[in-house]
Amino acid sequence: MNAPHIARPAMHRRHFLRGMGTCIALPLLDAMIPSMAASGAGKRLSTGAPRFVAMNAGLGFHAPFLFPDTEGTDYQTTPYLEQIKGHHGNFTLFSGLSHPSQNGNNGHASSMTWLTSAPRPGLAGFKNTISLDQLMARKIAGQTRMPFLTLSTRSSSLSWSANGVQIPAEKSPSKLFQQLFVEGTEEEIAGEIRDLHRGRSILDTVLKDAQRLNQSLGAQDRVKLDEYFTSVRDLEVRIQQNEDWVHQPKPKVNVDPPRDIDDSNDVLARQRLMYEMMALALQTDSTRVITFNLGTLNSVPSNIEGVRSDWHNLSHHGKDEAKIDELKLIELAEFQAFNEFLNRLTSIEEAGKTLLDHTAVLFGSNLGNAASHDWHNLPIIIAGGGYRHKAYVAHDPKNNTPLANVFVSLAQRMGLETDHFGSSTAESVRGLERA
Amino acid sequence: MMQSTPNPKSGDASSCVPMTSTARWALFIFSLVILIHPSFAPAQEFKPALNTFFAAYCNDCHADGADEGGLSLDQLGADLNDAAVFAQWERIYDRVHDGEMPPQDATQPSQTHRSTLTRILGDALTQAHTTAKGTVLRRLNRREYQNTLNDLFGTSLQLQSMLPEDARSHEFDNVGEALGVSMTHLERYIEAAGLVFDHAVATSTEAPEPKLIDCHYRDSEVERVLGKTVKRLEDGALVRFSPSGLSNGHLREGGTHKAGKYRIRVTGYAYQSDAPIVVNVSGTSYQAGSDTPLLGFFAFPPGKPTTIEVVTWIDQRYMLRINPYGILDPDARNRTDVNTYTGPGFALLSATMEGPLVDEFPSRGHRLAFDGIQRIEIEPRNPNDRKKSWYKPKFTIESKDETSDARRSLQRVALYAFRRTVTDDEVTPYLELFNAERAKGASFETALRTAIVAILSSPSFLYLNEPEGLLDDFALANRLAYFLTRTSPDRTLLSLAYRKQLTGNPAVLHQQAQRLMGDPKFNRFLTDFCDAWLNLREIDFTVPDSKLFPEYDAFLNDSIRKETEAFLEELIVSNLPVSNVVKSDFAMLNRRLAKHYGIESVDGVEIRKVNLPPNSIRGGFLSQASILKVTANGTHTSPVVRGVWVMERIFGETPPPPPPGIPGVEPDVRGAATLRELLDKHRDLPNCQACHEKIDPPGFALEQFNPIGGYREQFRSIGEGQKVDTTVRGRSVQYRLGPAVDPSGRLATGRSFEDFRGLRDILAQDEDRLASALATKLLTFATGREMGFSDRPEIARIVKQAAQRQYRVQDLIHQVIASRIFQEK
Repeated sequence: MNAPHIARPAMHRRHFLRGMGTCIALPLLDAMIPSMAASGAGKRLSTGAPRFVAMNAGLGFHAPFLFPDTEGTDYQTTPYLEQIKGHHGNFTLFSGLSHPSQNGNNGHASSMTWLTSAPRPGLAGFKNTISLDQLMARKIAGQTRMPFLTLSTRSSSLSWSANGVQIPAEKSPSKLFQQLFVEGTEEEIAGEIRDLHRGRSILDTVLKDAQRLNQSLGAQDRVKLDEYFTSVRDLEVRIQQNEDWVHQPKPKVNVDPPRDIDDSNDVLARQRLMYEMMALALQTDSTRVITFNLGTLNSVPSNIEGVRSDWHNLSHHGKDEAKIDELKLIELAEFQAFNEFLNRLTSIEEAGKTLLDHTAVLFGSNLGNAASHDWHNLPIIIAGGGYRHKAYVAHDPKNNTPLANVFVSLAQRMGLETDHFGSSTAESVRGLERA
Repeated sequence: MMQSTPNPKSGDASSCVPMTSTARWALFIFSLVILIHPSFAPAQEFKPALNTFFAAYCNDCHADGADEGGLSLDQLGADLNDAAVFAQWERIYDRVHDGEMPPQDATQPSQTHRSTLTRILGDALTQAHTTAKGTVLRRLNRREYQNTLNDLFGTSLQLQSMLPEDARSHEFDNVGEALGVSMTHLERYIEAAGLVFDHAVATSTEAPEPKLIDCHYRDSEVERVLGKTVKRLEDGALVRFSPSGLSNGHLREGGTHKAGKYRIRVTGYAYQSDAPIVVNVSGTSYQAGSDTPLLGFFAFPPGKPTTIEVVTWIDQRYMLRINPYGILDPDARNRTDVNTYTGPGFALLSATMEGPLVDEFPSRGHRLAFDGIQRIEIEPRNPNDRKKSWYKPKFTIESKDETSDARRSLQRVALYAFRRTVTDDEVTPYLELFNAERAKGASFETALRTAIVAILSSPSFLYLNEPEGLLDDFALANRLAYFLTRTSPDRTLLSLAYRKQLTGNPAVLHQQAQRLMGDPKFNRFLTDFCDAWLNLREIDFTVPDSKLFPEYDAFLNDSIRKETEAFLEELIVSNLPVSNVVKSDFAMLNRRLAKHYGIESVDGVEIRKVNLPPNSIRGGFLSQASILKVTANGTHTSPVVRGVWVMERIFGETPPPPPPGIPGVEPDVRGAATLRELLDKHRDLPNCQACHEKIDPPGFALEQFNPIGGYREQFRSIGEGQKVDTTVRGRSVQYRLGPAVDPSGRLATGRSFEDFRGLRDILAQDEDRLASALATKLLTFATGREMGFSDRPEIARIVKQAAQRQYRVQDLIHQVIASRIFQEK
């Protein structure tokens, strides 16, 4: 990790500055490389370890603006693909993928299962299953300061624990920055260690209560209380890992702490700022697994020129041209922000390649057509990750290929020895080959 | 069930006489189990017994490669322990039992054949369900957790947002089976409990004095518009004639410094108006994108000044925003002399915020932890410091016998936290934790805090533990309290449970239920039950399109939820018949709702009971704006979505999901085709018809209401259609009127209706069905488990009982509480 090869980020400077508060000068990002190397006591910075990032746009993308007419690399470009054309050859857009049986208790229920593939979200007897990122995180736990990050601009997270509990998302870039990069004072660290010890003692104590209770329970209740025991054990392990890491100095980045975007309707600014944190987290190997819920909105998104209507409402455009035009402005902006994120990952060199080459980026939606809440034919983009990219691969729109087949490949890529995930029927899909 | 519990004597016997004796015991227990427990007979055996029936009436469409409606009988398994398989068989039972299958145009089985099938299948389903049911160890959901801690410790913290979202089973978020626990939960529980402790414990020696904050508009802003659009009266009142101006009514001077409970008072009167002026009072802060919590809409009559008061929790650095509602000076932009305007205005005399208010000092939580313990202020080095504004006292504990002081405190906390009697043994681990922390050098108070946090993170606190079979007194007290007040049992209930006066004592249980329904906390039941049963939790899920529905405003948004909760309350408090669920001769309205519904002469902002004109289209839940809004998406309505809502919530039937591979129908608001026309094509497919002929008809009738619950005869459109000559808030509306609504339909039972009035008349007659559905929802909410096949006879008994009392809703709740289902695990 030498030769700071960091191109000037192609993000909108205005957004960056606003997000970062008082930013001194942009190219400062270069400066972080040597200082990171200097601080690598104990845990070594990884070189070329595989990473995984997943982003979901809950209101989908208007399909005619995304999918080209023909497969392959020589397609006629589309308004949305135009935004990421700089990465041509480094991503694949898939159509014709979906999870089976995603009818749920409401039109957006499939957002719960986008990374899990559990059927019938929210309907009777539904219990979610582990999300792809959590499966990966279990594998690499302890190797990085954070086993995973689950992030969101404003709503819930994409990550679900093994027993189907939704893991709350971090929405504040400044808190995340604090956690990852701001070294506490000696007193604060001592306090943190005391809290960890105290947490462990509390767990020891409640475990006794649980054991006593367990003896009086019937079989079904025991199964339920088992979740509690598992949670205690998981938290014990986590506390242990945190104790290991609390003694390690945090990587130093020469970036001012970001200031959160207060305006909860400024989803795009929130996306951009979080993308920036994600890039820093990946670059410093603070984590290798990230999920990011890009957010949906039941009001007007701020600061997108020409947009005056409620976003969710626009997604139910009812084929009204004016609404579709407005919706396009929002979705274009999302693709621009995504492009900036890809630019950032490409601009970072690691082990002779770019960070994007080491990071499989899954970008898409749980809805194929949000106007009718149709969960078939999802827009799915895989970027980077060392795949042999085919630009556009169209699977059968009538008889969709399980999206979970893609997940198996993504899991294997992270070193998991598995041949299935959720509703998968194969270990990959046509058009997704590892180089 | 007892079969897995080892007989205590068997161990002894086997140790004396090996093997043979054990085997004999095992055999004996085994045969006992078979005798007393019919479910032990393998449930798989029912299937061959049905084959003759299937061969004669079903296999043509449902076997040998045919799988109409997604059902193939030879492929369907017989393992009733598998929930999906069970659901399929239950559906077969229902469709044959109700005469829906075989279809009309096929050979019909004789009544004997039909009842043989339902008997054999029914027995198998009952057996399978009886073994599987029972409330699974249920943890408190987020709201229950927050209520319980706030009520025990006297805090008002927003704890629910710290916790992961609760999973739901159907519409309920308090079903034990669905409520999981994860590492994240534990992390957050520990954090939240610490927060509660810190907020409960006194930080001063005496009750802090609430501050009186005077709130007013900024002088410099007032000066700019005074005499032009704003008027100062002799009594000092400031009159505004429009909601705009003065930074949209933002009183920049005077805001809260600390978060807490505040008493807000606004004094004013209507000016140049015979009618009262409605005023919107809300909170606002400088943080971009921060919430602007609505404190309420209030009416100020002309004449003598009126003072309104509201007590609420407000965050730090919040100010007031006070705006007249429903009045507007159309020429405000060009007005240079306010005296030339003779329209109505709102004269504001004063606005104050008083707080933070302290209900009790020290708090309940403080007393729970420290009663009987000497907690005293550490003398500051300079006693004069006490008079300084920055002074914060520090406290220490003086104890002669720390262990016994701590034990008393922990016993007290555990008793209330565990909501039952607590043995010394149970408290010991927490006391040991206290001692260990002390030994590590923590102060008495910090060590006690750690032990209390542990109590509040333990399974005994987090789970409602219910023994097998009939509930004991404490479990029953808990079930009743969480059902009706959504929190732990109060002292009265706990002491009744302690004296074992709840079980086997229907009169006492009835009386306690009655008492809780009169408790202010019963409001939580109304909110939570409406959230679940009627799906009001999604009331803000969409924002109505402002072009199509410009009349939708904040006052209406605030009123629609209140209407529905008030309506449910009225059904319960006045003990009205269950037919009111779909048809009532009254509605719960304020002036805004009345205007929305086109009902004359309702004044005032408070919701009150209003008798409806004869044959009004309103009345009942189905025609309430809240329901019509949660079943629409802000732009258009779908008969399917509303039909499913009616089936699930009002009939208590869950339609199966569409078979795989069926795309949704994409609505089109350009005015060319109605969704009904688009759906017609879809519905005519034989695969879709069976379900949609049941689902859609109620949805067709409800097409008479738009996505915000307004009455309509034509769909509004953004594209084609007739122009409309209407203004809203001084502006011409942009929508047009498109195709006509066709609200007619025919129910699957064959009865036809012309429109919504026709539909609700039919529905209102079927009181059995309405009562059965409502009882099922109440039981699910109360017990925290889904009702199933083997619960049907008991629910039928409840309904029969209800029939004898004119299906009255309050009586129904009592019957639910008195039922075996409620009183068993």
